[in-house]
Amino acid sequence: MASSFDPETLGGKITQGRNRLLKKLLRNPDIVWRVEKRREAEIVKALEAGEDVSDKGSVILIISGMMHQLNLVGGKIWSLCDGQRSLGDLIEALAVEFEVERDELAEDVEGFVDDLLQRGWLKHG
Amino acid sequence: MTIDLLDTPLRISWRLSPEGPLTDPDALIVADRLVEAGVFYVTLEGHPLACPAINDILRIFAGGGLQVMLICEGTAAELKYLHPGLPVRQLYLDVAPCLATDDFTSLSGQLESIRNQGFDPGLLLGPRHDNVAKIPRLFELCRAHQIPKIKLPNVGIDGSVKTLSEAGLVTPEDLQSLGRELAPEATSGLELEVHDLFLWELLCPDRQDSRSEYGGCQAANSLGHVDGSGDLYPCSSWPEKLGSLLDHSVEALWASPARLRIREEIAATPAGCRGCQDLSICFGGCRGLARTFNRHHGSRDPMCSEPRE
Repeated sequence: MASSFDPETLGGKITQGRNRLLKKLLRNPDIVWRVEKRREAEIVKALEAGEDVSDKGSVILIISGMMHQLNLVGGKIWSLCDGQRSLGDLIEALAVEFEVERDELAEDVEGFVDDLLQRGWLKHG
Repeated sequence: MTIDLLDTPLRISWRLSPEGPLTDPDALIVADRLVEAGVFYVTLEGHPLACPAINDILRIFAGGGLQVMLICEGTAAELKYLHPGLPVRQLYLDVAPCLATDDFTSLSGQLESIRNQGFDPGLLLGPRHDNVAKIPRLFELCRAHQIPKIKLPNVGIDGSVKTLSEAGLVTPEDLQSLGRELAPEATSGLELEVHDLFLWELLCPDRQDSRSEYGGCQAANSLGHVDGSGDLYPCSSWPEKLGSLLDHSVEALWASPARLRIREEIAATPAGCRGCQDLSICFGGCRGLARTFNRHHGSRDPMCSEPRE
């Protein structure tokens, strides 16, 4: 039985993964947005009290005239995407702020960023 | 669903006229307040182009990343101040005067003047009892002049619009009549921005999900209005002012007990809407006009005929 292990393919994937981690992320400049400070303070307080705050929005975005909101973690990621930081930088910054398993955090951040890239809300700078 | 109790409004309308009581330095203070508040969009109404401070106001807005919609009536006094590069995202020509008289002789010239300055104008009509039947004519005008954008804003009743009475409001009968007159493809190819829910329901039947994020009347939440004196209101249809932007920041007025009480009032189900199956869609419609003009019908939106079963 032939082995499915292909060093070249694996090497390519590792390089791609590294490149992905290093690419700078930039918010779509057509999107207007802001942090709702009062709401964010309430959510942080609720989080510290052990409540589930995943469905509570603290960042507002207007996209094609429609209002969207991001939750606390989504909002932090969005705020950090200033064209100076890469996916790896985002994971590093969030790891300091939130007590989550590193692999779990990386997977969640990557998934969220991929979603925003596909929507056109973020692009690689 | 929209977030309630925002820190400051996202959209502001500002009645800005040369004859208004605001001095030029005071107008600049108001402009700075709006930028400082993180407002996203401001619609300048009245005769903003003829206001001596307009260039400085637009410069402040552009510097703060605030996007400007500007309304003009196309008078010579306004158009002489229009020039290429003015930081205006969208200019709307108010066609209420020419629809009122059925005199469209100057419209082509006004549109040409605006286009010559590099702007792609939209048409605007503030819906009233005496002009709502002319909305199909408005659509024809847009097509004839190749203008896709139409804005039908809410009815302003702030201190600078003293002439409006209940008799001037669009009624449910007006809407029924308009519904009979509208051709099936009346709005095809047009980009409509319609504030009032019942008018929107009639004109945009195939865009029902475009209001899926709508969480009810946005007065004193994402909407705000500044009158000609620099006073901040919950919206242009709400008659109670929150305070002067010459004395307070937007954030301070948006955190005031008066604003919070208004949001509580808006959140309560109007007596006239009880039992209506569509309440979860319209949330009582325009609460400002209902509160001011329709208390005898349980403060139902004046454009709503009756609760639906």
